[in-house]
Amino acid sequence: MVNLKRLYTIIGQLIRKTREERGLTQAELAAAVSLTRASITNIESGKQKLLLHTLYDIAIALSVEPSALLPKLADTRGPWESESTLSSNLSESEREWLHSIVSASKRDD
Amino acid sequence: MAVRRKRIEALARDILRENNVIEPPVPIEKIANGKGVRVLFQPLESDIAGCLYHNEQDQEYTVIGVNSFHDKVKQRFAIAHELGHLLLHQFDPLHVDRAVQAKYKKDLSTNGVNVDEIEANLFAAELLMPRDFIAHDLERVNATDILDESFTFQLVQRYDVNTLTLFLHLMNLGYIEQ
Repeated sequence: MVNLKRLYTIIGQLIRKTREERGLTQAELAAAVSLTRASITNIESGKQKLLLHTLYDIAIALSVEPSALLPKLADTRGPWESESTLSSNLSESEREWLHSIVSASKRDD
Repeated sequence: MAVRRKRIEALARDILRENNVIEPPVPIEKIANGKGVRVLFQPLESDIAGCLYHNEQDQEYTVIGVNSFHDKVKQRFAIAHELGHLLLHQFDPLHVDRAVQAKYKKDLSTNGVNVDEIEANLFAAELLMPRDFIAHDLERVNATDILDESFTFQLVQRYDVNTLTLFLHLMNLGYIEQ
């Protein structure tokens, strides 16, 4: 499973970086894609889960292919999923067991 | 990379001192908690003994997962082993360990991963069976009596470890010939 927080944080970072390279302000980008500046702020910080067509609109506004704003698959996985020694030989029940341990690490439990 | 025996001995000794442990059995869970680690016991029908999850970036707790389907003595060893990884090794956020027996089947000499495992095992042994405590317990015992079944049983009970772990450690410490 993709780690959502990770995914949207990286997308936000890519959008911000590309926008700054193009010399656009958040307000200018917002106007170009008919969103509020606050939405752009939230998208860039990864707090807002943008829609796929919004990503395309942003790509048009920034003159890049949408793929330039998408993170690599490997970067979107949770920490334990990227561990090479695990991926190969864990059974389903072992994966579940590990998930339950990892989820217990969250501070807002 | 070589096994850092001296460093591991010193590390275990320091931790025992910090926790004012003066006699066995060593309170391993309390020691782990003292290092800021949450210890979780979850049963699973598997040879996975334990795991370590450590992720500073996401501001999460460091967690040691213990397979509570295994014997209590193995669970204690698993906590000590994972604590060893936490204090000695740089890892990906999640590290999983299968039971010791499974590991011995692998080639122990070729790669760094196994040096880490040897170090974690050594650390666990030093922490659960402190050499000073062992020396004290064996002080007045004849060499031939160390292998006496009832005496071994006493030690196993006293340190709350399994027999195999005890023997390997006594061998390491030179009380039993290899």
